[in-house]
Amino acid sequence: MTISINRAAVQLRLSATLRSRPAITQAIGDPTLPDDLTNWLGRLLGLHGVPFPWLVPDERMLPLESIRFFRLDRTWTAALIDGAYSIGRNLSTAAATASMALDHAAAPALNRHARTGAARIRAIALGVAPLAEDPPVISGFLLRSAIVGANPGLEVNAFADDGTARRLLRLDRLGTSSNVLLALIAGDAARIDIHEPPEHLHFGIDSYRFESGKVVASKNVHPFTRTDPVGIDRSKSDPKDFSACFRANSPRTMRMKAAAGVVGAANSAEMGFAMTEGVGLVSFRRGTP
Amino acid sequence: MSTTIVSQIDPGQLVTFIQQRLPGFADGQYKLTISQHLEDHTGKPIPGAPSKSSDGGERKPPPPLKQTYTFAVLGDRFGLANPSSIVCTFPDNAASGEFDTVLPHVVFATPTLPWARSPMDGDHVLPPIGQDADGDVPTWLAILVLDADDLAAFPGFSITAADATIGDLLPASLNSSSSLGAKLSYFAGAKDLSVLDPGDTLTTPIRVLDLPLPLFHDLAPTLDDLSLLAHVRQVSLVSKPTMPGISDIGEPAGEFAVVIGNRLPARDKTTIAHLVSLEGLAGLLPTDPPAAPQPDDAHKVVRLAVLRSWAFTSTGSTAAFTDALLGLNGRDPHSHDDAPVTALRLPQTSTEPVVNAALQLGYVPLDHNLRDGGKTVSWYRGPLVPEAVPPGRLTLPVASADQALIFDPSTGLFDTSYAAAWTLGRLMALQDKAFSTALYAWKRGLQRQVVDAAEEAVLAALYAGAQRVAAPAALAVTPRPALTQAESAPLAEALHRDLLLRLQPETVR
Repeated sequence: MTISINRAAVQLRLSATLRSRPAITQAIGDPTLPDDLTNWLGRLLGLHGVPFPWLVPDERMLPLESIRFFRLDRTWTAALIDGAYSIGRNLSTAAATASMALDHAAAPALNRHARTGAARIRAIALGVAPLAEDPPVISGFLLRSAIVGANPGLEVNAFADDGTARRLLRLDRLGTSSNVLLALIAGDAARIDIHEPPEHLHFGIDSYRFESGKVVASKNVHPFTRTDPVGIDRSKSDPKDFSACFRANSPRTMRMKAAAGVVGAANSAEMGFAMTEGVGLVSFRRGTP
Repeated sequence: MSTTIVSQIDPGQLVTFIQQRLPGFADGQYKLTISQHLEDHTGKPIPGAPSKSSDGGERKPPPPLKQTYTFAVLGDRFGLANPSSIVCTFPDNAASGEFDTVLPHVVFATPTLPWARSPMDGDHVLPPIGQDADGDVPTWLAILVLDADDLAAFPGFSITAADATIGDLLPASLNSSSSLGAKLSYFAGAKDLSVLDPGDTLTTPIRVLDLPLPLFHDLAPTLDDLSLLAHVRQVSLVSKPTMPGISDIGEPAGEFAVVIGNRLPARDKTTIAHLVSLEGLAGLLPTDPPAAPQPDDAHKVVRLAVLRSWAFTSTGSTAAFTDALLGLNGRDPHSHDDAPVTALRLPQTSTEPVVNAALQLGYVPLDHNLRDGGKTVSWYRGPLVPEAVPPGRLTLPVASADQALIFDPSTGLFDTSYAAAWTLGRLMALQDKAFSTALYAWKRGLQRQVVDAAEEAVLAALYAGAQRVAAPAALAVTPRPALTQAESAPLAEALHRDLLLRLQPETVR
């Protein structure tokens, strides 16, 4: 017995499918996207690799030593993603080409995967769970300052109106030795705290004078406890005299062992702990327009 | 275990200070010897069994098995192989501000680096296993803080580091071209070149600093000080920018080593700080109280390898982190006023209300070369906008960038923002061949699914009356055993029968 299938019937059916978006959607179902494509689109959605002039078209918008807050225009990033997605799209003036119909049907899935990719880049880098839901709003700031270069680990915390913490989707220096920091925040941030990196806290004393051959130096030291709970009490401070902690023959060279005795530190950890200055923190609050 | 202190410096910010992070192996060369030694149950050694040789005589038992390996643990010694080992210095290079009450420091990305070598002589760099919980281990790195006053006190030397090679650290007896002369350095008692690490050659370029011994005694830390001048800080990385190799390796917390200088910078002077190696120089270090100077000390010079130098100026004006942030946007750091401009837009205003509105929304007028060769000015705005943009200004996907151009009849100008974004995305995709081919393959796969679905639908219509039958039982066995030729024949027959049954169309065209 021979069975023949008429090719024309399939063609007919195919063009009917391609004319109807629900039919295509039904045919392709909910397509998965390979991981490398998801990651690539996620990076693009997070504006990785977008040249700086596309972000800030005029330098006067972000002068030296400035911070600028913004909302992310999701239509712009959607157009960016669609540009990348347009590879292989048959571009013609006729809007209803088969490839266009197909791209149309698969676009929701592709965009969803791109958002998944964007949300997990930073989460994977830090080994934390990615954001469960796509944030409806993405806000952020650009910081252009010498402190970005001097403090590669400076920390950013963002908060919502009600004080709950907002997740960072991206916090990157734009270029390895650049002074520009780009932050993308999931949700609208009402308050942004920028603080000094704790690994970079410096050792210091409060005052130092060298008068008539003698050093006069002091520091307010915060008491700390070694037993549980270990910690420092920043509310209390104890002025200590460091005048004897300098060498007679070199009056700016500190006798560390003597200084450790003054603050009561038994080892380098306690010494580091007692001698560091507090973290500098500046809060930026969204004003009322 | 070493002492750790947890500090809640700010809410949500936990810093753990750790006394030290000792490496598993200190840097250097090692010999590993493995030998086999058999004993019976009474503890008597069992000699290897004597074997018969080919001529029938008895051979002596073989010696116990023994194998020796040599290996080296390499690490930075006279210079940093990777400049990014140093995360940052304080004060920053070329910074100026109120630094006369702070001790300069260096932050390292590798928490074990300050203890990978030792200022002590000899091989016993690390404390024996099990004893590392006690006492501090001195670091081999020190920060020497110098300024023009030191130059005035000791004329004829330089406070800046000079270019040299590793060979210049060796005495003339080991390297005839060495510039060391009578200066003191790391390899005073060296007998041969085995003191160098594998990979280091006499010509490897380094930076060196020559200091008169009395000045070195004034500035260098004592051995006890060295124990207090380095520690490790464990911090959360969750709020930090991406730092390659530190905060992008899938760990939410990281450790940094901090090495601190021991001298306050002079006020109103340019200070040069040198991170130097004190490996094996414990004998040269000053003591507290200082030992009586030897008569010939004044003529001795110490040569040190410099791993990093940086300069800063200590002035009266404060240079705190917070001041820099409060002074952003041209604001007076000490005022209580809000900063005037904080939105990402051009600072200009226009007398034209329409233009002004566009500038307020973050648009920038840019020259636009039209497709037909004409020139015009069009609006462009990047993805970072001052105010929320209502959605729905563009329907995607589009067939070309032109379709994403928006014409504003009120100004007679184009809004090129989305067209530019679309073109950029397309170019970036085309530039990355791996991505564009993979994306195209994915699209082909979807296309295949649509074609398959169409074919299936036609087939289903054709054979609407055909009866669906279960797959032959022979196929239902999993895992399917391999069939011999003889076994496959009935299966093929069964399949054929089922297939015919299945394909009983009402009409066959």
